[in-house]
Amino acid sequence: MNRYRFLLGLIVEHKYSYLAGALTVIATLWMTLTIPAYLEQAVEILRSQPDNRQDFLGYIYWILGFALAIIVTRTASRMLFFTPGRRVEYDLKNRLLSHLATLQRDFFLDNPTGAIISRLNNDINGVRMLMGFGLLQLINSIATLSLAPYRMYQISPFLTGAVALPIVLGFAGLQIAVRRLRKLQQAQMKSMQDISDFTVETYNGLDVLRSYRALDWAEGRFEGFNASIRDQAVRMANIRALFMPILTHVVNALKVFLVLYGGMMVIRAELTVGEFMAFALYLSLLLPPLMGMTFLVFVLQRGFTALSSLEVIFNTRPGLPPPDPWASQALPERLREGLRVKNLHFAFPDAPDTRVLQDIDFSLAPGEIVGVFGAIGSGKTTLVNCLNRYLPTPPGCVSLDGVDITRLELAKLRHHVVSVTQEAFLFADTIRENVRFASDADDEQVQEALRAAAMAGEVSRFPAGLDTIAGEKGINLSGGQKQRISLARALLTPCDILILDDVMSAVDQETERYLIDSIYGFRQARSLLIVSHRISVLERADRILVLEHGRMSALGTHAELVRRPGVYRDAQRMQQEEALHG
Amino acid sequence: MGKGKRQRTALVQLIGPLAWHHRGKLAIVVLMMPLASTMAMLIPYLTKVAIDDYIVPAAKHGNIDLVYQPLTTLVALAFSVVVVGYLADATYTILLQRVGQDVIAELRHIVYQKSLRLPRRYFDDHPIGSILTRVTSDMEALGEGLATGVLGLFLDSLKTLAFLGMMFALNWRLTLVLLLLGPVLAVLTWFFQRQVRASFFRSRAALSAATGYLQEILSGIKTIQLYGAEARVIRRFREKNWHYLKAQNVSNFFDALLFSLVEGISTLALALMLWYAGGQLLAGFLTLGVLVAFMEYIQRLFVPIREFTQQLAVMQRALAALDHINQLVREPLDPAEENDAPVSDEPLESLVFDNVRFRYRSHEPEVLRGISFRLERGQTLAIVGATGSGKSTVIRLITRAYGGYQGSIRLNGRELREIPAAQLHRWISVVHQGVFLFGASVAFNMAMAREVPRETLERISRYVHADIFIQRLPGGLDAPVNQGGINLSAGQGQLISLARALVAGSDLIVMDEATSSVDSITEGLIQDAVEKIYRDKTVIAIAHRLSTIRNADTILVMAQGRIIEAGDHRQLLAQGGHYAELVGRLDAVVN
Repeated sequence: MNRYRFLLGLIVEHKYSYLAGALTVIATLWMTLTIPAYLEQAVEILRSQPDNRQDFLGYIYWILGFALAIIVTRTASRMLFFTPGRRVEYDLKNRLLSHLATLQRDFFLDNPTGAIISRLNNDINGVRMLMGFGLLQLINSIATLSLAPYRMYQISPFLTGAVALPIVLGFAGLQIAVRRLRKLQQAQMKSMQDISDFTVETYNGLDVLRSYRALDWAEGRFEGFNASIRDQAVRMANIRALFMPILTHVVNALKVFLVLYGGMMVIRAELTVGEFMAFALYLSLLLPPLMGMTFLVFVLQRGFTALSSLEVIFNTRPGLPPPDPWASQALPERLREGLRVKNLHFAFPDAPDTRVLQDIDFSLAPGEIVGVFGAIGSGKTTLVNCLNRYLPTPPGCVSLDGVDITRLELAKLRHHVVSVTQEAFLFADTIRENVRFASDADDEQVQEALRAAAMAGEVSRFPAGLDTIAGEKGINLSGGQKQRISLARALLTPCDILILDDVMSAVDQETERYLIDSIYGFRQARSLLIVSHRISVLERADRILVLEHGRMSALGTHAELVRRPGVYRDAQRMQQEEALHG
Repeated sequence: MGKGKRQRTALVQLIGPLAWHHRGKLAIVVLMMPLASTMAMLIPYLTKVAIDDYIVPAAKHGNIDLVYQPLTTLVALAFSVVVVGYLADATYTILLQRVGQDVIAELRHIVYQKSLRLPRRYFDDHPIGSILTRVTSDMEALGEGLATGVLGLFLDSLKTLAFLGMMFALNWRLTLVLLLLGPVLAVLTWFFQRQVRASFFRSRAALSAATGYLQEILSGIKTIQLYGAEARVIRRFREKNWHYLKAQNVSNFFDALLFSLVEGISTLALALMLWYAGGQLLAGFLTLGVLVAFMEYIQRLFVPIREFTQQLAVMQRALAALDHINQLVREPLDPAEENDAPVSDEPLESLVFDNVRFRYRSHEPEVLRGISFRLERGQTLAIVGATGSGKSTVIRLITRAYGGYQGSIRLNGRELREIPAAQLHRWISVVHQGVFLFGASVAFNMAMAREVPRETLERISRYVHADIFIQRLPGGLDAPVNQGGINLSAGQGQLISLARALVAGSDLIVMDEATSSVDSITEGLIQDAVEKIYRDKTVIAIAHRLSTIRNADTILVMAQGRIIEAGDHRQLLAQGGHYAELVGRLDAVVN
């Protein structure tokens, strides 16, 4: 994405609206500038032909009509510019989310949610201001500042030339003032941040401050920040009072000057009284666009900064090898051979020398259940994340029906392989929507899944049942409840291979037993990969893979593994004892 | 008390005395206001005089020389009016802002000072963020609302009044006709402003719904991607975003209309004036000069109406902020902490709990249900027990973080609640469980803003073994600690907080042992330091480390607000009760 081409593209996209907007701006301006001209005519009629009431009234009615029409055209011009601005905001937000959704783990590790949101809001607002107010003000200023001086020049070249220099100087003065003001504003924002940081720090450490009688120290430091905020505010007030109104006062002074020189010209009959009045009105009309220009500069700057910032996000690529469309198509709707893991090894990109996984070899045929056992830190979750490509799986190690998963489109892979992580994520939405979030199941199916996840009873006891909202705005669910809802979601989602990564860590033993029964029973010819450090969860699996420090130390059935010395047997003994004493 | 009345009371109570302090400057402000208004009013009037008295008559007979002298004088006068007006405006604004900012800075100081002394309970009930708001954004709202909003509006109104007076003097009939537009504008702005505000709130709500959803998506991006549900959430976000767009467009429409109306009203007034004035001008009731002056005046005529509706929201916000601030300032303080009776030099000889009962809130169950014990100078006391047994509450009562206990707590025979704060702090130092380090130097964090000789700090850091890591820091004792101590390890923080308690030099050390795990080397240092403190000082501690507990003269085992066992390590082990079981478990963990 190139920001200039991007900007141009946005303008072209809304060209009719902007074109109509530009026309209404010019119409508004033309009428605004014609009013003084008609006023001039009317006054001249009054002076030279006092009896010509009809022509006089004709001009007055025109002015009245213009005044009303301007209200309409000005409203229209604002709408015609602001609406595309808002539309751009809407489109950009959608596009950004679509783009963000393709980005991978490393992007989200580097960019916390809060930072993305605030940057997004800030940047998109900047672009919106540029596309709405910015363009309106640009056209308005250009049109006014070229047409009004032209009319003034027509009345009197001498007077126009005479007022030009002071206005330019006043404008330059205003720019300097604005720049200094903005610097002070930034400094003040920093001071405000400092004082809040310090205040929060002292509130957090208030017990210590009180116990050690250091409140005076805190007050003293606070007063330092406070004083600098006050000083900055006073300096800003000085600029606001002395320099910001400078252009207004220059125009006022010019009007006084006009009385003298314009008056002389009227006396010498070089200027009519009407022209004199019209010139004074034009002079007043120059003020708003000149003042608006200073704001325009700010909007343009901010808009372009925002565009470059968005450019960076849009140019961030998912960092995955391009998928091979043939590979995705070669895969049947239902897998026939299943999953095959061969010589899988993995190291995180930021530590390429530390192999977290090494020499993993196993397969998972349709309908089979494989358990993965290992202590904390043995690489269980990394293994899962290599199978669903949440991590950058090395090519040639993992395949579905003989097709290397790194050649598949992510969507295709995750259509076949669904994995549930230990940290259950629920939306602040109804339980129904949370369960059927990746499918179009009806209430009955949702209920069935909840039953299988041992959550149906509790949900039915919630006052709103399936319509209960999860999270802050509704009911606060416990960790175990969240896990069971997320498990129901997984059970409801159609797929070939279901991976459950330690999804029962927060449920009690009784529930665990029930869940094991229903998980082993609920599958519809699916393969299951269950990851856990608890033997009770794994013992009924067809085969169990034992992970130790990222390596496969054993693979076999429960019966085989408990006969062999090793971590599995040790864990089995320990957990059995716990169950007895527990 | 009604909200409106309360807000007015807040204004008088809080701002009144502070503003009175600046009465000299305010007097100048009050003087400048009519001056500025008069100057603003005079310029169009002088123009009128120039046109009617000199230009038009001179234009008739075409003789410049006759009017040249008086016209130049008049223009010179008008120039000085412009300059004086500018200066009066500037003086007024500068002084007013200065007073306003001073008042706000003073108020901010008062609020902060107060907030530091509020009882712990206040912090339990109010999140820190909302208390912070009193010091930051409420103050800004106040500055905006009072200094610029109300007073700016006042000056605007005063100027308009001056203009109106002059307009009446020049031509009252025309003025009355123009004033007819006033109510029309007022009603229209009032109506549209309401629409704008209503649609604004709708679009805000839609925006926060969309942003909230986006936030959810981003925090759950992993789940969404693993389920391949990207398209689904994007579609839903699009819907929410679309609601926002629709709401925003409605809001934009009313906003644009209101803007255009307000901008157009002067033009409308001009047209109306000409239409009405045409006849008058012919009949000689109106001169050209008056017309020109009126053209200037009407540009300002409706400013207060326009500003008023706009500033209303700002002022409401300011008054609400003031109300919040006033509530905080009026919050009652713990009288015990305010007691500043003289401090005596007598050392702390004894601490006695006599059937102490306590509950945090009147409707909550008791957390201490009759606690009695006695600690003499030189003794050490360890409290053990499960979470919720009430052991932390004992410490909180001693340090007077919470008041309102029943029964009696006596230090040297004096009731705790009657002991002056300074005396209490001389007797007691606290090692808090959550180690808190300030964003200042290591030395500061040990001495806590007191003047302590360098040698003392060095001696004590050696004593608690903090010298080992302090020496390695760049700058040693002067090395900066990041806020919250993030550049130090948990164990190093604990060592500093032990040193802090010793530097204070109090008689009794109250220690709530940190539970956070530290590396084994530092753990050894901490254990050794704590053992030394046990040997040399009077200590009462909530202990988790077996080593600490074992060395205590007395161990209190607490459960459910009561002391269930008391005695020294050997006695309690011999009893074979809860303590023996606890020690067994701790041993198992260690081995």
